[in-house]
Amino acid sequence: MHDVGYVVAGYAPASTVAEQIRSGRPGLSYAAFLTWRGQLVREPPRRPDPERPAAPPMRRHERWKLAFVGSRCTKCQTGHLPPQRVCVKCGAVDQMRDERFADTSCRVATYTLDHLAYSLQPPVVAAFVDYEGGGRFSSELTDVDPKDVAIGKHLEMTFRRLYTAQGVHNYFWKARPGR
Amino acid sequence: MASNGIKDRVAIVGMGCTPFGEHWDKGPEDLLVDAATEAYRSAGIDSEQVDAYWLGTMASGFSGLMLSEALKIPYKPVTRLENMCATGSEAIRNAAYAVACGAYDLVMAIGVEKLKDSGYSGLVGANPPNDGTLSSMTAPATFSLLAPAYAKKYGVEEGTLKQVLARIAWKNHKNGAKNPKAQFRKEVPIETICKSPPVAGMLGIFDCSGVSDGSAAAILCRAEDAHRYSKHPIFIKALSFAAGPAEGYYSQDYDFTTFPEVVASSRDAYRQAGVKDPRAEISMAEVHDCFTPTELVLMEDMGFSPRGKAWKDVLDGRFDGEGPQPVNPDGGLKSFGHPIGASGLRMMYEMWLQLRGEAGPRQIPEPKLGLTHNLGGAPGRCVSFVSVVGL
Repeated sequence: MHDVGYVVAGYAPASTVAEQIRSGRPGLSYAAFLTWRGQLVREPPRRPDPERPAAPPMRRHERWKLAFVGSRCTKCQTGHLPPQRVCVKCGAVDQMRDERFADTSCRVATYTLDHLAYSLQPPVVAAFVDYEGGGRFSSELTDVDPKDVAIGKHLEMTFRRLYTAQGVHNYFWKARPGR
Repeated sequence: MASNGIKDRVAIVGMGCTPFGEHWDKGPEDLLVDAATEAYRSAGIDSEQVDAYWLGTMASGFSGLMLSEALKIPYKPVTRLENMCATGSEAIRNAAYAVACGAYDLVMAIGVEKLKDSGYSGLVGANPPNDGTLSSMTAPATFSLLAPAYAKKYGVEEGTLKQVLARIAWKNHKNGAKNPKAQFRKEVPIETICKSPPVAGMLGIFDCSGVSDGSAAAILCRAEDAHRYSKHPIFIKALSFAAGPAEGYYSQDYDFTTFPEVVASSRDAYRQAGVKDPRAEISMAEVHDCFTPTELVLMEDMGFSPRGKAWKDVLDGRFDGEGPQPVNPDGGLKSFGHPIGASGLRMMYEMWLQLRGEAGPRQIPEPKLGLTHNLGGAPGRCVSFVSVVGL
């Protein structure tokens, strides 16, 4: 048994189950659902399978990969995703502090529909996401109809299983329409 | 900070280039033998006369051994290098410095790629072991971002921009149709280009360069030795390279309408070559048209067109084969094809033919200065090479 302690009493999730259900996207076809669950095998595109992520880099970058923690330069306040040692703006070395961007308000800087990228649900909506307070990251958009994407659209980050390759689940963050 | 240049100190005295295309029956070693043999013959030399080699390939082989084993080179230096899609030009740049400094007298720069050996559709790339968070955007997707950004910034209606992009593809196919070594040798009507299946964003199949196999090679020596090998050498006026800090991937200031790396490398090249007005002084150029919007933006980054005006120059035919400033007279990446390790050398090959009056139906009347531009990476995170060559 795990003892979670008294801290859990004060914990509130970022959004409740009810909110998540309410903001879900209806109209998902059963065929799409089965495909995503790997129970309906379709002819693959003539593209390589996704590559298996490697354990040593995953462990080293755990805070970035699982908690979306980037860095901010303490000299010039420029945000960096993923975290960096050298500041892209002022060149300062090792003057960064950790900053979690997972809950930072963000928006579409630009985007494209990628018909060539591997996906269980093409086309991939690929965007550059700009974060309030500074910082930019190239991210896949999810839970969105490609027709509804526009520059400036309000987004939020969401934690997902990107894919599973050779038995290894690859978890990371995508951006979805802000709620 | 110094980038001193080696203007008029290095000459190209021989070149070879295989046809580019789907060479199912040829491996990388076959293409290397073909290109090298043609280059030796072009310079009128035996292979033993070459002192050192620079081999460019992105992913078709490792180590200088790839070349030394294929050509049975006896114990000479062979450097394998890579700088993404600018690999071929990087081979030229490094080989040129080696003769300029006097370390060697006669060298070869050679590039090769066997993209079709992957068996996949489109360009594929392999990453070193990583944490699974790398961007999975394909090359067409990254470059497709240039188009809507350009349209928005300069007030060009998207329908018009689509026509501009199609015109660029049309021009390059028209040029390639006159080129026996190009992968695609048919003119393509603008309507066909506009209607082609979508690949990414505004880009259809015809907005994307050919995935192809091929090899090309150059023989270089110091300018004062050129007469020993060729009656009609061409001379390097400038070689520049800029690797960016990937600012576009971190900074909200990057707006996807320019490549700062191209601006930096072209400015350095013009300074080395003494070019004050590239629009007036550069007679012809081979540029990195991996996708149609890339060529559009390059015209402004390299100073051929004023900011926001390249789209008009394109529609006016300024860069057509018969226009005042032909761009990609050999068909470009678009119709000649883009075997990564070879492309930069293939660009130089067209400058070689044009400056020597050997370009046949593509011949530009009395060109003075030629420019080659080679880019690797993506908008916001790339490397850029520019050379200026002439007689």
